[in-house]
Amino acid sequence: MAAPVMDPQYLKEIEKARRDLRALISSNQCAPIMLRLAWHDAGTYDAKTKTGGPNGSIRHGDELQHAANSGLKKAVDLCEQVKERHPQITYADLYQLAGVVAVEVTGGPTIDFVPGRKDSMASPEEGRLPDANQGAKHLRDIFYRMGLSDKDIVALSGGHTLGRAHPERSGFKGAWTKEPLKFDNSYYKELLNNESDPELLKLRTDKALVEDPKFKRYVELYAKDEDAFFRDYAASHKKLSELGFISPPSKLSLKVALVFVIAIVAILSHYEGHFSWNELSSQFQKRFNLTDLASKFQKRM
Amino acid sequence: MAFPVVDTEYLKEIDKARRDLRALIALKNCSPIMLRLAWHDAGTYDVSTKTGGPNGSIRNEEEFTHGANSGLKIAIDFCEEVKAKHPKITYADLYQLAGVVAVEVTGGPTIDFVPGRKDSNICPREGRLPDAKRGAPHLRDIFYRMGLSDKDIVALSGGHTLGRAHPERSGFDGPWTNEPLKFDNSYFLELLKGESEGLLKLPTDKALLDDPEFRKYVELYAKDEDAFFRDYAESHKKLSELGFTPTSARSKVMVKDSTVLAQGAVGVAVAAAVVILSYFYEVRKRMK
Repeated sequence: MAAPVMDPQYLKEIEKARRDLRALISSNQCAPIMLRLAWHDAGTYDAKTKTGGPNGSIRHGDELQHAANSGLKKAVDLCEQVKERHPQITYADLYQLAGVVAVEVTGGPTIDFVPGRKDSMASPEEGRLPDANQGAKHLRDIFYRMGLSDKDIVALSGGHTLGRAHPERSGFKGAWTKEPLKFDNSYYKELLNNESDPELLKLRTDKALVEDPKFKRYVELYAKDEDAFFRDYAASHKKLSELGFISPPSKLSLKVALVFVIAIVAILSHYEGHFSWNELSSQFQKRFNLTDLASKFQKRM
Repeated sequence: MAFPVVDTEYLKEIDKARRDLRALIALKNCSPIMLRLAWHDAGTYDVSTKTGGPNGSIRNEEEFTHGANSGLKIAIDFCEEVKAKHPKITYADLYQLAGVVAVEVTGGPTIDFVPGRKDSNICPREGRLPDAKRGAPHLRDIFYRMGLSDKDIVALSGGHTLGRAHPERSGFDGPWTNEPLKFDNSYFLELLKGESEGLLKLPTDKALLDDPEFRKYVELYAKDEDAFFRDYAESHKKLSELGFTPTSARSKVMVKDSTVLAQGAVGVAVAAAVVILSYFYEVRKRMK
């Protein structure tokens, strides 16, 4: 599918969709499942083959039925309400925008959102998302494959500050923190707390973050400094939401690029060795009346 | 009470309070009552005596027990949770910030918020807020006293897109629109539609239709939601700043202007570079 054009109309629709998402997510209190939808659409990325990633493919039957995506149909259906009102915007952008808004309305950091992702019908094979029963090595396999780092792994795991696991979905049960609809650093505090409420959930992959010394450094930082967590989370979330996505250039940057090309040609025309460069540069000068300008300049001097 | 010092520390606390308010309001679905709290703290302003206005005075028992403020203790208590985490910020700023966030999380426009209001314990007399049973002349008396206009009256009435009236509070009952937790222009659409099963229209709402000046705005906002959002944001900001002169114009408009300026400067610099380079080219050519 073609890249959506970065015209002002599209940007306006994105802003309207953002507002609709705020209302939808607040009133339905579905921030956690919307965040998970955005993460599961993006988290299939393979940096080597450049497949998967945030491209809306998750809405298709086969991918939606992957075990890891159990329960996500609810989020896909909620997003459909917004898509109906703003059909222009791609599903890829919509799902990532939903993730950004989910973090915002639960009190989390503002995450920079750049629109322009294309939709894709191609679903990646099952198994690209992390398995909650595994450990640190598995986490690195999965996230390094996406092109992310240790810091990203720990910061993004902080997303468990929201929501809960469901027996009928993942098989696990319960929330990670006492306020599953508040985005803060309590996930890390609970991880480090040996006397944490036994009702609170700690997956094997959560515990791996304190067992591995490199991961643990970040856990300790985020537990004691919520500002640092918010800052790193915003950066990692943005990275994740843009895996494999290069934003289309705006008209202004195209103009600037064009002027730079002309400038480089003008510089190269200093070197009068090759005839064709001369031809080219004098043609450029004739076209843009630079000789006139230059001689006018000289007359003034 | 003194004006708060709006330094970097204060601004940071405001941002944190803003995030806490988003979480609180989304969690409790209490945006309507938070908006009402902000409006009732601000709406007591008298432009000729410079009394009342957004100064946190509503938190005093003397004021929150006014008939018009029935039920608002709930919102005051919610805000207290946020104040406890950010004691530095004034109640006046907190209540207005809550109003701004309430509009935001329900899908409304972004309203510019400038902090720095001071708190006051001086409570205005009862009777400064509008009486729902009255009509257009009363609305003008009340709002012109604040220093607001006809356009402000209609735009701000659009706040009824959120929430409902309660028999045990105002005596009236029900929401004005079918989605009382969604901020949009349906209040105006419903007004023009006429009587609807289960939806509320106060005498003051109907007055917006009967008065020709008000009606012009109702019709505009019913057909153009963008115009409503634009005017609402402006009127809400005005209301939230009655009697308050922001010293720091920390508005997003300034940030936008500077990025446009920067981009323009880059374009000019590159064009100048090209002209200068061509000049030197010509000079060298002549020298050879």
